[in-house]
Amino acid sequence: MILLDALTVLAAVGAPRRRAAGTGTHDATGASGDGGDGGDDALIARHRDGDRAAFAAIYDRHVDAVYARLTRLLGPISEREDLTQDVFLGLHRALPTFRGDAALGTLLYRITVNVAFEHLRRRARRPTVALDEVMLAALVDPGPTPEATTRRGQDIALVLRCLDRIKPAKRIALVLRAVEGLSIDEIARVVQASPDAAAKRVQHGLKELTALLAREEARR
Amino acid sequence: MTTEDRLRAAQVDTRIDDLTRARIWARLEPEVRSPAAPAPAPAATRRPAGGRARRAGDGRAAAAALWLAWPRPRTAAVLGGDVVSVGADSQLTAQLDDRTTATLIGPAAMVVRQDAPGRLDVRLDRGTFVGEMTPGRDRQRLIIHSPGARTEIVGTRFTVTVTGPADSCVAVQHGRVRVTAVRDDATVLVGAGEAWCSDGRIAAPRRAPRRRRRPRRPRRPLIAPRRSRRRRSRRRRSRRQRHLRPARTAPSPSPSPAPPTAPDPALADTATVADALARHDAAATSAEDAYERAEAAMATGDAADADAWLARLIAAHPDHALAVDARLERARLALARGDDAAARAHLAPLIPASAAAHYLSCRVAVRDDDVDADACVASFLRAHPTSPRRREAVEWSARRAHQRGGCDAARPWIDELATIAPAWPATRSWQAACPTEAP
Repeated sequence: MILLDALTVLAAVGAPRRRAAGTGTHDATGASGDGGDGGDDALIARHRDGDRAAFAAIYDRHVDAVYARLTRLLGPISEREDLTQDVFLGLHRALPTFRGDAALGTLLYRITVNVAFEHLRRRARRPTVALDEVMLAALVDPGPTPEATTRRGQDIALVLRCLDRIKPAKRIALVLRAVEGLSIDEIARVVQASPDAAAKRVQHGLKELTALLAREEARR
Repeated sequence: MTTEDRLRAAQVDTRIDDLTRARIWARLEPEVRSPAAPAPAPAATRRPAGGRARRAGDGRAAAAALWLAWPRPRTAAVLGGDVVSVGADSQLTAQLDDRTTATLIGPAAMVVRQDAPGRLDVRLDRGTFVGEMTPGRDRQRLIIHSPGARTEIVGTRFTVTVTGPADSCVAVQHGRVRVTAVRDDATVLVGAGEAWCSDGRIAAPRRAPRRRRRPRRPRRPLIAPRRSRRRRSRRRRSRRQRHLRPARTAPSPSPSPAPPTAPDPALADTATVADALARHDAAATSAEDAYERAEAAMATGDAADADAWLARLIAAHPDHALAVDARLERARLALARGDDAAARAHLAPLIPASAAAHYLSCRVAVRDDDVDADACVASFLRAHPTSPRRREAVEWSARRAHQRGGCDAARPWIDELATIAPAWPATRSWQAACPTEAP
């Protein structure tokens, strides 16, 4: 509880900061609408013209979504900050060749998924660190009793641990479907695979996760 | 509950906080400042699934992996004796060596040289230099030459600001620095929470004591006279007994020790240093400028410096509209570093006018389980019936009522939660814990 308070207070410690222009409309893949003052297209054009503030505005506009997406794809891991930075570095490098065929949000979505995939692939080669259940319990919404909060933290830790044992491609497809709510066609576009392959990854990922959860719970 | 539901329920901590957002941008900004080089492979075309790419053998996946694994410089290197200048409203963070990080807050200019190993010389011509040096065994020295002062750092966190053509001020957040006034060659030690200005506006806290050298033990002769084994063992035994002997309870024959030199409370907080500086610099810094500098400090994650700038704003412009925001930010910073007393002091004058201040002060009271916590929450709910923080305040009331009298006592608050925030997870938890009885 104290840790939760500390985290909430930290969240409240606001850097006195200026917000960028308003948010655009978002579709399922987070593609921002453009047009209007401060729309993504206008910001990209300003960035190409050498306006340094434009990229800051793009960052301000999309960082929340990128961070949330990375958390959903990878869990509440400590490397999210670095990965968010990698996503925006990737965007900065991709913008000069970005033709504007797709929305900026779609491009960012793909970069985010790629960065998450690369991270999972790299991590698969290293021994993984077990998730700290106490830390997770502190992140969940406080229940009426400490026991309830701890139990919820343990449940989440179990799901995330099992998710860690699924192969990256399947895991990403599964999270995009089950959590992000993307259709199979949208998943196929984001991960650049055929719809059949995307559907199979979702199906197999779900099957594996169910089996792993059942096995772990039987072991408890 | 299906697997998909469990997966959805496992989504926690997806919101980024302001501090993290600012920290990421502070690291990102130096790298995106220059025009972008074309990517080795367009990021959008990199495939998560490498099978087809491997079969195609076009090396795109390999290039992407190389790009991701390539070490990217996180700070700019500035060594080499060139002038490094930073414009207004911007700042530069540089790694001067393995242990020293410097942030230059513009408008500022400095020259960094390393003419001798183990010694780094910085000439600060204008602006503010915020340094952080971690202590190490290699006795690395950092010397900052600024108008009117020469500051030598061994391992600390500090700020040097050029305040005039011939003057500088030094403020220390952690550790100690030795400052030599160029004017009269006098040396002072500036410790944590203290400040010193070469023009005498803020006096030297204390004169640097001369290093007392321990009297050298007489060197042992190279060929020591042989001692008998019994004599040596007797010596060892007596040494051991001396350690085991209980402490003397009799008063020491020496005169009563001098009272410990208590740190000056006015200098205990670095923010107070800024208060002192602010009183002198009231006309020199505008409220907007101070606020922007606080923003810049926060962007680098330097809460102490941000706090100092906010304090300066409040001291210099107490009636400015930004002073209210500054007080609130200072309270939040104090809460973040666990200094509840300071937070309360900052919040108290704001409570009648600011819902956020009222909320924060109640939050501290509830967290600390103060006697007036219930009264604070009740007054908050009365004074701000439409506040977006109302549900949290009602939840606190439910929790406190539950502690006192169980579900029955908490019922009115749970009902109110169900009315104002039916979908909130905490509401659902309360409803599950204290279900409504069927009539």
